[in-house]
Amino acid sequence: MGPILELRDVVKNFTGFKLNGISFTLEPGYIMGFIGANGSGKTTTIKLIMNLLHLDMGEIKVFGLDSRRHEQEVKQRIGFVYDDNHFYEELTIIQMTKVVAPFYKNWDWDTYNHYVHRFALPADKKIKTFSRGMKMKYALAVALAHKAELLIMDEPTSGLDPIVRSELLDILSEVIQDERCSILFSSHITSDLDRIADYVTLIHQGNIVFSTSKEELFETYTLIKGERSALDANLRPYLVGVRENQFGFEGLVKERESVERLTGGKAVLERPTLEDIMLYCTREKVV
Amino acid sequence: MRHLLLKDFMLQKRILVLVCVYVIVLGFLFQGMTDGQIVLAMSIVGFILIIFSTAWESKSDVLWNSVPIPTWKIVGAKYLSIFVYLAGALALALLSSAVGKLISSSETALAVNFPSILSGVLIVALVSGVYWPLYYALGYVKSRYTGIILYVGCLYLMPSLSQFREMHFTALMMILSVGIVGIFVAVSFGISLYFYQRREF
Repeated sequence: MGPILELRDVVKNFTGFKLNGISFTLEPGYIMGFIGANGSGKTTTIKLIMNLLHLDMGEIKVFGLDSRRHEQEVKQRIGFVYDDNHFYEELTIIQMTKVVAPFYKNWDWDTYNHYVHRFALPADKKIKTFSRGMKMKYALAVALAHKAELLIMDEPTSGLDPIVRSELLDILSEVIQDERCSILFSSHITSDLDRIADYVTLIHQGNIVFSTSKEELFETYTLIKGERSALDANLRPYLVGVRENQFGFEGLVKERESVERLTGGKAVLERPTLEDIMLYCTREKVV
Repeated sequence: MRHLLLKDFMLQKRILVLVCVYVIVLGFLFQGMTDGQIVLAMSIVGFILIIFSTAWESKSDVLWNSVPIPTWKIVGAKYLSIFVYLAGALALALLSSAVGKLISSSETALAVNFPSILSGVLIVALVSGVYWPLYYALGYVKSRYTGIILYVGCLYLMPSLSQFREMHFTALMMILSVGIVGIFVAVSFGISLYFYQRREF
């Protein structure tokens, strides 16, 4: 079975911003964290996958099918949760679901009711009375009710409290258990992805910095901290990015063993977080 | 497509109640009005409902374009809604007329006849045929103002149209008018679809 999502040399031009021929793939049964700063191109990429924006160049395949030529077939198998509510605020969720459900061939009312009950969503209240977390949960219930094979989530946790965020991550971990569903999870809250992502793709200023498994990422990069005296000309070539102040430095290095030998205990080497990796990988590009 | 129509009705419930009140009040206020004024009442009702049906759509384009629905159905539902609203407006006009006749001894209560109904349908179809392509090209916020201009223009032209209709609305003229307006609406639908498929969300 091939990749569930495949982007090849995707280009999209705007005034002042360009998605610069990005490529990455997502294999079935995995969660991919799609990270990057605000304005780096995450939402643009997701909108291109969902056909909400028109592609200038390149190719997007979902389930091995061209996302434009097979748009209806592809969308039958995609669930989406966006950062903003796009359902009608004036409707109750019963009314809204009655309008949306008939468009999905695989809609399952039992699954839908299961999640509505689990999320404690009031069926008779208008969506405009819902909190941000409830709106996100409703979008998730709709996305899961039609047995989506690919969940596309654009900043679903932004603006949510830690309890709701944690609840969402638990559900996603459950959803992924049957290895039938894959998730593309865009976020700049990297701690969420530290917890659930199998693969991580970093986008910066419209370019893909890396797209790799989380394990490989943590094997590749190491966080280094030390006094300024340790930051000599021999060490600098190993640094992906560095932050210096009058007391010392902190940075990200590749080739941990070589760096360890080089510093001879004068610097501390630690496992970085995804945030460290994102920060230093993009910092270098800025400098 | 019927689910998209259903959605419009659910969203417009409150407006529909207000429109009902408007038509009934109009019916009573204009006891003795000509059938040209009935056309005017129908046109206003149809047009109000068309304009309000877009008021909730500013954020929903992202939703409908993420759900597996062909764009022609999204656009088609809006065009189809014209005739559904007109049927509603007509039912109200008839009701208003019947009530007017019942409680008024005057013989000049609302007179609803086929030519006046057809005129109302044609005028609203014509105006919406102009409005929808603008809506799909410009979006709700910008097209709202052109909608108001169209509405005012429609009110301004109504007396002349009414005069024309009274003088020339023969059976042949009716058939011709239906054909021309039908073609116009079909072309308008094609233009709306063209604009909508090129829009980005």
